[in-house]
Amino acid sequence: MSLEVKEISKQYGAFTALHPLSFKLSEPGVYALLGTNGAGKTTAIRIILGMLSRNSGEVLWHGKALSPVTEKVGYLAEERGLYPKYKINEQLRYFAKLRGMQKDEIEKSMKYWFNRLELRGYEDKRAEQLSKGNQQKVQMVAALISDPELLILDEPLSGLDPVNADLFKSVIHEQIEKKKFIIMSCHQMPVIEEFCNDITILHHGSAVLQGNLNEIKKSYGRVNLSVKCDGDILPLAAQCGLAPEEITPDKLSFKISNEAQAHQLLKKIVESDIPLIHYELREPTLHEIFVENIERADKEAGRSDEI
Amino acid sequence: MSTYGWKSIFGFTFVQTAKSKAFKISSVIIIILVFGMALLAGLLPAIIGGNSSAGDSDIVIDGEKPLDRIYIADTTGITTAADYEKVFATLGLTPVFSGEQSDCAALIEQIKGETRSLLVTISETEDGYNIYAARPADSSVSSDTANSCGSAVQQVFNLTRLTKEGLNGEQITAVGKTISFSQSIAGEPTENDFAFFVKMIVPMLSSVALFILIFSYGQLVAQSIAQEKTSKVMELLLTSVRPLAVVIGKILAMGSLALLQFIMIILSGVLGMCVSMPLTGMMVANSQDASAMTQQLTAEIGKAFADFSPISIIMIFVIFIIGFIFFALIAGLIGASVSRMEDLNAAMQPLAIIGVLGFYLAYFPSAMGGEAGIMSTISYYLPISSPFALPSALLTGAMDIPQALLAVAVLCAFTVLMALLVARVYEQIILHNGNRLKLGDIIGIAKNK
Repeated sequence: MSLEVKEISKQYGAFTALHPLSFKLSEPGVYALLGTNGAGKTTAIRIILGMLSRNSGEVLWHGKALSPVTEKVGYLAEERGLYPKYKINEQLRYFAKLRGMQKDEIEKSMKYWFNRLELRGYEDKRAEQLSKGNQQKVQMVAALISDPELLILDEPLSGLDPVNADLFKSVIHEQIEKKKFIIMSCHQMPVIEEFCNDITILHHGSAVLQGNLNEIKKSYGRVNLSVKCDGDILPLAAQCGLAPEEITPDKLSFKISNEAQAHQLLKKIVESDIPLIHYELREPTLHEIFVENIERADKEAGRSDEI
Repeated sequence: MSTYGWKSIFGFTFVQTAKSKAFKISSVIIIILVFGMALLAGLLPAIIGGNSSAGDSDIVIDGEKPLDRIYIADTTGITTAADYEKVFATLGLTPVFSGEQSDCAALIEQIKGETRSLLVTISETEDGYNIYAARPADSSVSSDTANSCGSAVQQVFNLTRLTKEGLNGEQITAVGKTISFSQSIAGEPTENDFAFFVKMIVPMLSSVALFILIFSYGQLVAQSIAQEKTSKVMELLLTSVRPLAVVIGKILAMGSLALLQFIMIILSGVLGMCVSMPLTGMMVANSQDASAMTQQLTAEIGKAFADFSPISIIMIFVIFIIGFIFFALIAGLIGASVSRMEDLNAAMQPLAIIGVLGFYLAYFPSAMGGEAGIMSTISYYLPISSPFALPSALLTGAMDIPQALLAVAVLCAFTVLMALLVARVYEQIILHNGNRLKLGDIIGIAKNK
């Protein structure tokens, strides 16, 4: 049981939208496709879904070429789309029918998802009569209605209020528990950290970082030091060769080259009797890893784009 | 290339479009318009004939008495005062009759100075007889009244004349029967004014109806695809079906709706003609001329329809379907080439120009009564005009079945070529975002694929 993306690429004339990209989901779980705007995430997703032809590579689902037309694949697109003038239940029946579902299955599934996503009472409304958040819920129903084994979620939480974002998160957790294969693209790094095991960071059509998120973090080591004291510790930090990266009323943040530096600073603070309120030595966040990798890739390519 | 799912797309598009207000309203308008036009076409000869009729033997009185006095001067000596008494008794009039010695000039002078009087003179000419009705100058007697009274005098005079010639009642009825005239090139169907009318109007109307249906529904295909693309529904659809299935489903759904309205047009037209017949009968029951005109027009239309072989009728529907598919494929491609709805009209312009060109190519030979030989031939074999030209050519017998089959084969070949082109580039352009794709871009995609 696996999804294997092997060397897929896309070229538009002289422009390369996606350089050969490979990754694999050997087990059920969430795989993150990250990247700046225009990095090639949607192109990769469209190739996986068979919407776009590829210049090279293949997409294997359980060892065979993936055909979304015959396999159960759910897709929540980044740019939401519903027929504005048609009734919600008619649209969902149509989408479900296209997935090859039978009438009974459709009605049962629709009833479940309308309850689960708190859409009861909206069945006979036209899409244009619904709020943006509710339209997004309807799209989520469209993605999940056929109980797909492979689910592709492109920015699933964008534009949702905190209550509905939590609702969507709980649904995603349920899908993980049900051993579904999920590919998620999202700009909210805490969400990725909450759900994803493996990641690919794309930039200008190329993968600049790939792998297991925990391992990536471990490979960086604990290089982030946050300190809050009731006194000035900047001279002490300077003695340890540390310059603050960020100074806020709440704390001082340092980037350390090794853990000995952090220990040395801690020792000096204790020796100088400055009251210590907060001391944290941690791995970099995904946000930091993302930014660092994009900047490095730009530097290597001689680009000066802003992220 | 998988076309799985086209049936679901067909069903959904058909039902949703048929449920739309636009379809319902346009269908009602079409039914009313075509029914009304057919009704009018059936009634028009009766109305015209009825108004100009000079053959009514009974004088109809609407409201007040139309005359106070009628003078009849028969200089031929064939009739007498008694012959007219019965006819004019219905008006409460006793004709002032004068015979062979009548001084018509003096009577005319007399009428000039009178009011609500009418003079009818009967005189012999070299060719036969002349009946003349003179009204006063003060407009107290209408032209219609003069016509009615004149024709009543004509009927009585004719009947008396023939009786005096020794003819009995049956012979007089036989003599009075309407004789129609027609002519044609030897071996070809007969022609008369009505035949020409039917031959000219039917193709013109069919060309117009086909153009409107094929073109407007082609536009709807483009609109529907562009809407799905710009509203991003297309991305959702493409997780379940291939783009070609979307095009096929949509074209067939819109084509079926166009066909439905085409059938509505035919049925409304036939119903209008059917309703017009008894109405015409009621309107012109006593008018031989008007009745004859209506009968002749109805006969020509009936003859035109009776001349259709089942194969012609099947071919008309086949031509309609293939013609629609040809234009709808192009429209679908255009719909897929735009990323914003506001670009669609500009993108459709070249197709609109081609369509109008094709329509006029088909329409002009029809309007010219099939006299434009080369132009007709071109319009039959050119795919942009043949869907509009071929049905009318079959309707009027301007082309025979083998010729029509050849023209349909040419149209089919172009439609298949168009379908191959669409299949080749559609998947490439359906998710294109950004500037509208030009023809050159599409050709480039077709070449590079």
